[in-house]
Amino acid sequence: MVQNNNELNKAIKARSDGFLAYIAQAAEEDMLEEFDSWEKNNPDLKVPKELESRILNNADEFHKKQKHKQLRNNCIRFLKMAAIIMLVVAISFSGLLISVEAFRLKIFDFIFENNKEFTKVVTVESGSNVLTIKKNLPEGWQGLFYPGYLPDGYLFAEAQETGDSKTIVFKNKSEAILILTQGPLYESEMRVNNEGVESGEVLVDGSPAFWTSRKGEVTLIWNQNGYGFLLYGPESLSEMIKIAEGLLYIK
Amino acid sequence: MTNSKNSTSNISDKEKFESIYFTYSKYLYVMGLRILKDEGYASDALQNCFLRIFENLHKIKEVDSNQTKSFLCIIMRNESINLYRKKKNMEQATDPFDETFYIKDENSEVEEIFARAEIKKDIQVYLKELNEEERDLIILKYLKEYSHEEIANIFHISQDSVRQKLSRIRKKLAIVVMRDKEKEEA
Repeated sequence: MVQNNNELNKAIKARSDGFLAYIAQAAEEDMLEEFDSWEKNNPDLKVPKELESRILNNADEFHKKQKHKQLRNNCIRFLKMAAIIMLVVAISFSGLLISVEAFRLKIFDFIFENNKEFTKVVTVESGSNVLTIKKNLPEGWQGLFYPGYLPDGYLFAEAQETGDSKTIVFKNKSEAILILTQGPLYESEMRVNNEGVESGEVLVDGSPAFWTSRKGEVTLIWNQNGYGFLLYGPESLSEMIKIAEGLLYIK
Repeated sequence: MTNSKNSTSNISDKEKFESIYFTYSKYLYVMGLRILKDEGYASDALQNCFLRIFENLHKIKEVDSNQTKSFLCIIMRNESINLYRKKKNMEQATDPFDETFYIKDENSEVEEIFARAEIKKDIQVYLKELNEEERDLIILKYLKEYSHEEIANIFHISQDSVRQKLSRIRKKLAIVVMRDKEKEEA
């Protein structure tokens, strides 16, 4: 009985909607007929040139804003990932690691041993590049490392601070994302999950660094001058090392 | 309706927008002039209209189609009417003695009236009961099957307002159907 009522109600609704759609169809035809006749009666009328360029310019602006919004949403997604990675790093640095030897690899003991002394630092204080970089970064960010070299097409996209660590995201036209995270180093050991990834050790400016690679995405971790760095991106290991070695210190 | 040359699946938003602009801008501008009778206001309406078009670009599948044309007309007419109201400082007043108030807006009741209605040859009997905004609303709701949220975004009104207006339209049309039925029975 209830089922019959439901079916009856559905049938009534469908017929009612059909009736209204029929009226709507007629309203649409009426409207188009009326507007077509307006246009036909004004064959010489043109949209003013000034108005035309204003509308097309507005569209460009709007398009840029939408792109920026989309980019921002993408970046937030990746920043969260970077923040999680840095959180793992920070926890590891503090020695609060629950070690599962089968899946984790200890990587930073040797780095601390080998890297007590400060290595080469290229400091940049002024110049138009620095001004542009500072303009991009959040207010109050100073004394940080910034890539002096980036592979073709990568541009600054987003910057975010999580606790002591700072993350900068770069993006290219193909939407590929490169993340540089940096933060002060607390003397301890660091471990990363090496399950299902290729990994190894390389040198960054003569200092030992650890890398992992999974599905074409490389993560490079090293320390320098009391800072821990994590660089992540879909570039070759040699490109990632080049970026790491080209970091500039922005005062 | 389908025109592969104007299919928008492989073009960027910018190209799509420009294609829409060069196809319809004059058409829409004439509409604005007819409604507002003022070049300055018509220009403002056209500018607002294209901003709304950009916001709703994803809804446009084929540039050269009647579906797109009517969608753009509804946006332009709505923007023009909004400007006209601002210009005249007019507010749409509700007539408290309107007979539509005497019909309950129980969905089932109104739906039953429509379900039993016979489609008339002279469709103008129904259309003349509706103002332009109401016609636009039923086109979007019952022909294009937009949600209340989508309609609210196009008309710059709340979803509640959309529901109220649609309810009012249904009641108006139900009265026409009932009157017809009474005439036939008499």
